[in-house]
Amino acid sequence: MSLLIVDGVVKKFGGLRAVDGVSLTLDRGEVLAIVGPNGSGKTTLLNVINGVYKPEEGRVILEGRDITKLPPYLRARLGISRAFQVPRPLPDSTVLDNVATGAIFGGGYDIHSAKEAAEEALSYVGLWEKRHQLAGALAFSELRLLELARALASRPKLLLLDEVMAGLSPSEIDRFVVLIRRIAEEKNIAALSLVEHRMRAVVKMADRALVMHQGKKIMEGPPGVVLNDPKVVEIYLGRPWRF
Amino acid sequence: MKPWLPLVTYLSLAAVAFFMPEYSKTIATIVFFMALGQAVNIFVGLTGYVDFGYVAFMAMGAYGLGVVLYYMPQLGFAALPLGLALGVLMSILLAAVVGGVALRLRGAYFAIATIGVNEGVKHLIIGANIWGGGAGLILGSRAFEAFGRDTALWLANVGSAVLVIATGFMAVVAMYLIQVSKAGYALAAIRQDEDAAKVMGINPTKYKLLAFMTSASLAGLLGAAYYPLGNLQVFPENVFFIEYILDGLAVMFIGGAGTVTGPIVGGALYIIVRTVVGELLPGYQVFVTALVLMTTVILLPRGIVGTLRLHLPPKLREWLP
Amino acid sequence: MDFFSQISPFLLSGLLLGSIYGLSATGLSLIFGVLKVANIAHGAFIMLGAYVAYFALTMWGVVPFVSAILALALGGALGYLVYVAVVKPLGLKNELNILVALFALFLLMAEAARILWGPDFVGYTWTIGSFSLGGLIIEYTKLAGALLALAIVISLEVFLRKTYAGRAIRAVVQDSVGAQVVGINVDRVYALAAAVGIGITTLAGVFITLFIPVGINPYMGGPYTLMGFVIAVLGGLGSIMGAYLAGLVFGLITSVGYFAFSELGFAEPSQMALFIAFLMLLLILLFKPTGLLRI
Repeated sequence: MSLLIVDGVVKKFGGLRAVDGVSLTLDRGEVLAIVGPNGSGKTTLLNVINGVYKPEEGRVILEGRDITKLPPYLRARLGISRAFQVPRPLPDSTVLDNVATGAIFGGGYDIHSAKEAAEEALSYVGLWEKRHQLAGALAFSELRLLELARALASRPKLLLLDEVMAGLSPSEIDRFVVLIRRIAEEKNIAALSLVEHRMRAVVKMADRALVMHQGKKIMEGPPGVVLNDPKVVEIYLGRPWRF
Repeated sequence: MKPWLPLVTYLSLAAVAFFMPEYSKTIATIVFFMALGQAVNIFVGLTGYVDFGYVAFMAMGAYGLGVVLYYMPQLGFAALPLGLALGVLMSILLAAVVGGVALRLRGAYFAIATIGVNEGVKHLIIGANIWGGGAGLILGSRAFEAFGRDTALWLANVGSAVLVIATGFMAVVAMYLIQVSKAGYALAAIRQDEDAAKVMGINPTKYKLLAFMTSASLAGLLGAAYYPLGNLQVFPENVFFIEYILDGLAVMFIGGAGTVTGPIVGGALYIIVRTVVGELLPGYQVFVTALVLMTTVILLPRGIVGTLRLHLPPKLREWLP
Repeated sequence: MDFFSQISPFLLSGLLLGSIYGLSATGLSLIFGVLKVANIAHGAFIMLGAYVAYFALTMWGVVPFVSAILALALGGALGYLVYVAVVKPLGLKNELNILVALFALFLLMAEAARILWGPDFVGYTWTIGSFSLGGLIIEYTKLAGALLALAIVISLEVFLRKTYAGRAIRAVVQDSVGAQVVGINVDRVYALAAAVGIGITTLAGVFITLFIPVGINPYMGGPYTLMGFVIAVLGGLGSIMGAYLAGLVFGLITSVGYFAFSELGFAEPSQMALFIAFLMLLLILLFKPTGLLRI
């Protein structure tokens, strides 16, 4: 049984069909990259899976259970964790408390074991040394790691990664890609990662890539194949020259 | 966190009020503002929401004890615990109704929704002519009947002071219990980023309502201690006096929103300012309070204790919650 | 007397007063739309405008339609000051502190008015006659006030649609980050919106005195804050024409409500009308927070 099934989801904003009949499946331990230019509906789709938006049509199914109508906080408890495109730490709380909060509410730990889980997640992403700092004092790339640790500590089955490589340097991206692959393989967690531009990273990180354009799914398959497809290239570069 | 500093402060004030009754009224007046700030803090400081109709909770507490004393003085001493319980219950119920509806809304919308609550409840009591209507409840003879003359006077003097102090004490305990529990983590997240909190698995409405109802029950106790017990009367024009939320916010913000020691520091400073203004410029108290609140909120948004905590090493920070 | 001729004066006075209500709520709505700040001090600026009308007429003989310009300028300057001194230093993210600061400002202004001008009700009489329409007596001042209010709201809407500054404001209402990206100085737009919003609110305070000639007093602002939010929320916070239309609707509802409650023999029909306003606010916020009449 697939961990996540998205079945014909439609999300409209006024007359605009931001997500237009997208379906996908995702298994444990698998990394799926959703690729598409700005405005293609990736983030809206992620928000539908996350419960921020309720779709007009279609269903979202987690481990065989229809969660289309559940609010975000209940989905978090069922194992959907998210890292935001713009990191959203709790700036006045310590790094440890940030991660522990995720562990308590998303992971269902009591406070004591939540702190242990938080320390473990922090050392997993390499942020343990900074656990007593206020999150507001972290550097940008560290905030990305903090979000990842917070998601990990909440015992996720599915990680939603919203453009988590935006704003990172090439070497930081390389480390991030390795980390995400490691998480998927070692912890048997599924990851759904939105990517706008970092195609090189997609090839290294993802098992599959799914291309969205104007709310629709254009293509799906192995990243190396999909990203070299003429149709996908056209979406990114505009119409190729013709005589 | 270590709540000993604020707890010991309240305990020693209670001891002074109890053993030196001649200072009871003074201490009650000072601690009233501290405890009010403390109660306001549990909701406003912990959630980051503001309720402009907050005074209605004090009024509910005042009416709870007032109504029991007025209509059932034959209960004798039982009227006191029963009246207090009824007052707290009514405050909690009002909080459940207002919060159950309005706490689903976000910050600014919640504040807008609370604008009319205080006046609404007041007009309901006066308009529908319940609980004495606009004339209020005068309790002197009823309290004498229930408790006996000397005890009633002792209760009005020392008893109300002790209850005010006890409310401040309980507020600190409540704050401590919230902050060391799951609710503390939830509220910290909600206050800083409600959307992120939801995605982390937190149900914001539930924890906001918890803080709201806790805060309301303490405000109710305060109202009961101050009007029916301390002044032996409940007049709608007094108990719904809108400026008490101004006082509560001023005390809380001067000390530091969300801190436990803040309202004690803020309350002490606030009473000094009010007394000095009352001496030098009588009639300007509200004007000065509003001015002080506005400048504090803008120039020292974390308040005195909040700012101090930022600069303390983590070990000491524990002792100044 | 048949029902229609009984109720029609209430309908008409509801529309006339509603026009002023609508004008006063546009300022509130504009500020919320642009800055996402609920101007809790709203009623204090209405009070200020009312005193401007009072002093201008009684001290210099300046009629309200002229002193309205003075109120607009005064309110505009104060609005700019509120932005620079309160909102900007706190940053728009610090919602709690801004709300509390504006609440303090409300009481500060009311207390200042009491200290300066005394706690008593004051008022003026100014009539330029009236005319009769199908048995209804309509005062020219009220009619002119209502029509002028409509004209001002339309000019505001034209300003927002046709001028560069107005378009910049609209862009920020829709997407403040996007507006910044295309080169709009968001800081200036915020200041402008605060100045225009509070300017119009103060001006509306002048117009309100045409309807309550002896109701001017330092604490008169409270109910206007509540009513202002009821109307602005009904019209959809951020929508100018929505706020104006909602003002008309609100004027009709309270006026007819007043009529109904006095027919039913309630002791305090005006209090009950306010209570209805409060209930409406809660219900709209709960079920349709984007407003019912947004245009």
